[in-house]
Amino acid sequence: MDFSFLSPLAFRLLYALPLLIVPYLLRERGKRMVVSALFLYQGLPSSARRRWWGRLQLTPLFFLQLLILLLLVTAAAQPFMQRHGGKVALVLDTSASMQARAPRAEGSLFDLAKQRTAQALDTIPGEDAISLFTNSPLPALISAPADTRAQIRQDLLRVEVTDAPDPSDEVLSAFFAQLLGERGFQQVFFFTDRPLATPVGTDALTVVTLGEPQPNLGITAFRLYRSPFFPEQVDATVVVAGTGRVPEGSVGIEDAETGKTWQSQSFTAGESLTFPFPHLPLATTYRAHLFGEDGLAVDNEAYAVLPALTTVPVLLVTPSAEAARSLGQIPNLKLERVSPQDYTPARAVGFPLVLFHLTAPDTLPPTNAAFILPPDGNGLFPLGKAATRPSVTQWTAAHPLTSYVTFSLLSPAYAQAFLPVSWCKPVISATVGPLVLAGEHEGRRYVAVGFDLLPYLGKQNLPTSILTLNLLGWLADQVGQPPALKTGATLTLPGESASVRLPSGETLALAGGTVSLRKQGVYTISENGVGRQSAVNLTNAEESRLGRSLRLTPLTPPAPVAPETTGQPLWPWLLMAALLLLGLEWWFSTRSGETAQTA
Amino acid sequence: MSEKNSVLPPLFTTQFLARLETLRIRARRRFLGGRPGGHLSPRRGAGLEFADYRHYTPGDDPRYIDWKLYSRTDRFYIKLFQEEEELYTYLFLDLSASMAYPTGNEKYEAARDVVLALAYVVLASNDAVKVHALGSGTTKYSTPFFRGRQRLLELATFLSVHRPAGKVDTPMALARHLQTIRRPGKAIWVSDFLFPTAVYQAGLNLLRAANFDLAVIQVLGQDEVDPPLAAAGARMVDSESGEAALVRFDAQAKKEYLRRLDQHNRGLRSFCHQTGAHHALFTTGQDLQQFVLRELPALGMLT
Repeated sequence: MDFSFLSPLAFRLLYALPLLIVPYLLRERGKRMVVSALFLYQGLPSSARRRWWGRLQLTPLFFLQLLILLLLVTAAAQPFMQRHGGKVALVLDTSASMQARAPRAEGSLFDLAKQRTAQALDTIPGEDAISLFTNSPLPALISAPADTRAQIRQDLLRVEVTDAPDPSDEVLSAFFAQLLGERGFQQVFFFTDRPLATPVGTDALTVVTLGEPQPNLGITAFRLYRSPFFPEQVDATVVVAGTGRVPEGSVGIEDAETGKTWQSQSFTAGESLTFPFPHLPLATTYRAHLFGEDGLAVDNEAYAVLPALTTVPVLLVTPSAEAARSLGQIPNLKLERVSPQDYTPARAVGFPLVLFHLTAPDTLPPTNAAFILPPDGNGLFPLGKAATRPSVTQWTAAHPLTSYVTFSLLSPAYAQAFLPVSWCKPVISATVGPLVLAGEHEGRRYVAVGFDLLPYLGKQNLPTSILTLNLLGWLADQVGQPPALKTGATLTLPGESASVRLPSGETLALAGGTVSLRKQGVYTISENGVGRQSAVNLTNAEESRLGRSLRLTPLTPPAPVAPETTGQPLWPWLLMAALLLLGLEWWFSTRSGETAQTA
Repeated sequence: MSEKNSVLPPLFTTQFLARLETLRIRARRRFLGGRPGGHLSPRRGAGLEFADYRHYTPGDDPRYIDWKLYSRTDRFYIKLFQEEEELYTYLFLDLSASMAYPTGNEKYEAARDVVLALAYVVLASNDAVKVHALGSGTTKYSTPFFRGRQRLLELATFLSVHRPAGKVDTPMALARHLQTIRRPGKAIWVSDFLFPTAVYQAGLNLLRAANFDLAVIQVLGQDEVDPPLAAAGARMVDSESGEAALVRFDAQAKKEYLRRLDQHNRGLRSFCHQTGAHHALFTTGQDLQQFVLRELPALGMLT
């Protein structure tokens, strides 16, 4: 261990040190006292005779001031203490799965990881420079190599576990490779809940696995559906995934603000883990809660915000003006009609859905679309048999298109059955064949209806009207839905004045900044005076799988390097010492002044 | 007399002047005066206090014949009485440059106020007073004899005109003034007396030789009896000669200085005692009214 200076040029300031004598010289020269009679003073100790260096009298205060100046100059040169030793990285897993219960111990796996990290700090030789990292949401440095062990312990106490999932194994592999390669660490310790699946090809990385696999259930999806055309109705779907022995339990939907449970469904082992919750009352925020004994609590909750109502722009391609007028009765629908001759695929761009009435284009439009009674010979949905007043014989009850439709009352005057289409499934069928096909193609939804839904007659023809609204709602599904936010993501707020209230209640004031979504819950965002709420969820099936393997790509062993030199800055200590001495000098000078007066 | 008179120092209030009027200069010897006054004169004459007898000679006032003594002795004797005459008082004020130092102590102003107060005591008791300013050079600054309290303003004006300056050869200055004095009386010398022993002894001896009843009032500045320290060293400059000395005036040196000052003052007091002169010490830190009204009568300088 030795010393060095970052700014040795600062020592040139020492040339100015003799200036300190100037005030003393001036003080000596200016001390002239006229007395009534000199004979009383003659023979007293002479200031000139007593001092071998002349008239200048250097008091102890002068040397104290000199020491202060020397300390300040040395601090300006930025001295630091060099340490020669290895570089060790301690990486702490701060992903959500670390909140799992620790086996045979109180607290979580994360608490256990902190204990093990603190123990590692005690065992690593003092010459080694230690850096502390966290891995989630993204790898980040917490303590620099120059920090002392005590500082690292303080930093370790401040580290908090997140609700974010682990970065992918590829990202972790790249991170460890960077630590051992470019950043020159000789040893990396990774404290995690995941066991290493395969050896990484080097002893430089030590994966310390905490805990063991344990059964767990987690909500992997929580989605609210609010049709623009049934605004008072909210449906929810909760998807639960589990690992190990799936225990019994229940899933409930609550008002996130009041905690009031609206609906709850029990399940037992082996049941389907997708839970629909229809007809939920309106509320600002919703929370899905999974009740059951499992290893991780954080994934037993999920949040959703009531989707805002928006107007759905619809492009209606029809030769019938009356059909267009009838659809105009539907609220929250902004209709634009074009004739089939005027339609081009470019017109469909910008509309979330397009209705083709009595016509069909040559190719599928680049957006969600419905084809109502397409003409015979169209290239998209080949037609089969025709029938008058066919009876509906079969329908898919779980499909949103069939919700609330009383099929016994549905009896179109004329219907045209479809021939099978590979990517579509029949939703409503009659004796002559499928009357309604629905499917998704290249990420877009398409519906073909073999009977005329128009004109829209509202309550005068309830089955057809409900089917029409279901169709519009399914096609406009994503319109107005707030974007799904996941923990670990970053929320960018480009507005000049923005603030975010976190689920913990803390409010962050931002100005064109970003917020890291580390905890799940409801975030209240105010940007440029406009407020909104966003739900942030873990909903990650992989993270809910406790004890899953860590598959790292083989790492290259670090090249043997000379002992790393790290620096401990000393100038803050010197500055502090100079300030202390300055206070002492002030006290001495004040005291000597008082003594002179009292004497 | 108005308190707002700009010539008189602010110290001279109506109350202070009234109290001064109750005092008189005390002379321990009898001097011949020019006019009847309140002080006993060596001259026999028509006083109230019986002094002696002598044989009657023709021409004597028959009213002073002691008829009872004539009945016993059959001889005429004339009764003689002590005559009471005015006292000539001479106030010598030091105008050397040393009276202006230490700076800020207003030593000269204190000495001037002492002189004015004593002069008013003289004027109020119907005696004659004359002020001599002992300045540098050969010029003599002195007032004529003043009588009557109304002359105080003229005295104050005289003293306000002159300021201490220059180096003064005190015995020579005294000698020049004494040449003009014809009648002996009370002499009060007001100075800091911070000159070598031989100098003040020569001056006092001159006054003794001129047959004065002597009194000495030594006025010192507060910074002279309690000088500030200059531990880092100071260049001490003599106010009159301009000589300088480098002195490290720390606590030890101050102790030595105070010892010397005390020795000097004791020497002056001792010499005054030997020569029958009153000695009083006033420092600028003191209350001047108390000094004049209490200390000087206590010392026997005033009654």
